[in-house]
Amino acid sequence: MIGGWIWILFAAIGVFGAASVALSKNVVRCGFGLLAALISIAAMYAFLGADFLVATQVIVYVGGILVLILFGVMMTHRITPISLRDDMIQPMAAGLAALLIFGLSMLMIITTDFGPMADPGPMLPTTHDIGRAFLTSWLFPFEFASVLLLVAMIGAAMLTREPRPDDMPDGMPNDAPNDKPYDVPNDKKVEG
Amino acid sequence: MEIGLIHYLTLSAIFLALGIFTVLSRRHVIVMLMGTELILNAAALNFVAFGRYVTGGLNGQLMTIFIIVIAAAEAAVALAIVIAMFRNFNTVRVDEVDRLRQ
Repeated sequence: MIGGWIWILFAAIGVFGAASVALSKNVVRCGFGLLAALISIAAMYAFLGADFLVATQVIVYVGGILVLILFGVMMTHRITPISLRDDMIQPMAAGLAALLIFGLSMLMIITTDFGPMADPGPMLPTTHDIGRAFLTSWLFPFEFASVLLLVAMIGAAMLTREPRPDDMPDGMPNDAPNDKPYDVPNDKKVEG
Repeated sequence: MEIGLIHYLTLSAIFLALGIFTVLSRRHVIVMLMGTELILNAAALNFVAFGRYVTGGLNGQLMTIFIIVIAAAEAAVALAIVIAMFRNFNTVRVDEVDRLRQ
């Protein structure tokens, strides 16, 4: 069956991407490895018949979070180059912990009897049912998640804001010398 | 070959192990953030796979949507903290951030 081989191809892409996140010394290469892993997860959702989740995964993760992360990488790289020479501090201990967790997970997966498998049934569009569930039985978590997103957005804006000199409390030395860090110098400004 | 629940759980366990390895072994804060995204995605994949093969219905997919929402909020706040940290300490390595104030 050809579907199994396509599944294995996407799984291999995802594992390769995740491995390059874990092992690569180059931050940009880590970012593109994460891109491969997230696209592989989106393909897994497609194999599982979750069409709404495929769209959500691609829009939110591949389009949003990954661009945010690459933006963070570029922003922090632009000012000073970061030495990645001794980035792997404790690879042995970390590898041991990861192998232990992987081994225990596999032991659980192999030995557990998951009971009778539900009939997966035909793959139907899920968007309509998901919207109905959000506005009926899952209404409270849905509203709570929207409040959480609002709080996170305000918090992120608050944290990244440039500190103004008048909101420093007394006794706190304001040694951020850049009162206008992104202003163009006067001799570089274009007249008119 | 027929792809079943075991295959999805195995793939998810691989993602989880690689994510944990990333978070534990790296000192670059953005790469550690990528490791947490891998861990969250492994959990989300498990929810969808169990929802399709064991419980049936849409509850697994709904939980996964909430995981994606929480991951988005987490990434936004974490990157804001990274930018604030870079502004104050001029580094993105977590072992060089060792003061609570200037």
